[in-house]
Amino acid sequence: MVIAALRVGLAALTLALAVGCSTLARVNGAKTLEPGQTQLGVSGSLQQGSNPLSTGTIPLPQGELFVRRGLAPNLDMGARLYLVGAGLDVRYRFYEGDRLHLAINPGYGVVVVPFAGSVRGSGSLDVRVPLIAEWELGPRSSVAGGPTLVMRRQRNDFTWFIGAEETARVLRLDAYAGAGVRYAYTQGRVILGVNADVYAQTARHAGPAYAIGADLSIIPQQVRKTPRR
Amino acid sequence: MTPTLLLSLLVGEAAWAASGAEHSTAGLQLSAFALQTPARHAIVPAVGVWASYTPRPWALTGELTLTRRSKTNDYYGVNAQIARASALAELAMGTRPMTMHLGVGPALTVTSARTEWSETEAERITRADLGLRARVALDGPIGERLAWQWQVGVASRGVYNWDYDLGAGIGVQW
Repeated sequence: MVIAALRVGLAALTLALAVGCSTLARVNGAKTLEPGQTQLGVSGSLQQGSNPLSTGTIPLPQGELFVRRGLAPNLDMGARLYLVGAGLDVRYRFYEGDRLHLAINPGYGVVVVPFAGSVRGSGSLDVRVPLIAEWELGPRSSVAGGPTLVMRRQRNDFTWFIGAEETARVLRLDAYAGAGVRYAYTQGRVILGVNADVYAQTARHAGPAYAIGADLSIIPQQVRKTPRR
Repeated sequence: MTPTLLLSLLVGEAAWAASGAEHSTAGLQLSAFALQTPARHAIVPAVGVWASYTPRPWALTGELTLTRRSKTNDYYGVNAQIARASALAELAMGTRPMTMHLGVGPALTVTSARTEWSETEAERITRADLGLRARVALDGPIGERLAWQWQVGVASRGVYNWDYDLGAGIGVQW
């Protein structure tokens, strides 16, 4: 049983390494953490079309660990460690109503994939700007969503031999414009979320990219909420 | 109808956080421009100035940005200077001194490109393209007089060319 699970995990890791794309799944709503609060979580998703290699293939797995920390009222920051990459973001809740919250969540992400063979290396640098609206359905559940712009600088380095070794670097900017939605259910200090995102790739006409996933996180310490101004 | 009341109706709640102190900012900004070219987007540095008048929850912003792009190969060389001016009507909101701007408006891009095919054969073409400009920006104070800005934007040259930009700047506020 354990060996079978390890094999599945190894296969998923190999697939993700072979694709080398960062995650498109959203794990955030618009409600920021209170100053001093920390959130720890894990996320898994299936995504397709977020990279030329994954276009037209089966949906591929992506997994991540994430942590957030409240910096100030209505302002927190997070770090994500996903397969073959990592990201940092800041979230600013610029509107807080009774049930509606609006936030902007700009962030950066990198992917680095060392390869053997004809591809010497691959990687990307992302800039992401999600605008998030979150509506509290009740004391324990909420739905969040909104548009996101992802600008990705993609790099592929090749080496080949035709008499002598030659190398080439291919650089490309991909822009993904899309939107997503996330449902979150909170039980005590535990938050369970499910999410779906769809993006159009305007430059390469490669069809839509999408991600479907779930996340589980915990906020270990409860901090008194900052009163609204 | 006040903007705050209009916003309250739009979002169905009290827009207490949307209203805030009126302020203005202006400054110098450095950007990374992703210019759409026939094959792909080319990334070049750009420098610009901005000025914003922000009576929350609205704002008006003007931008002027300059950049250039050079490309040379065995067959030709291109040296282009690009200037873009834009005026944006914006939604401006914040729960802190930091303000989120979401704006859209017209943009005028003037491109002057000199193409050389040989040492004696060259041509300069200058053209102006009207387009659409949209941006998401954050700005805030640094002390009492200074201000910062960060933004991501998109602008079109005509219908088919779409450029992206990412920039940060520093300026003054009053």
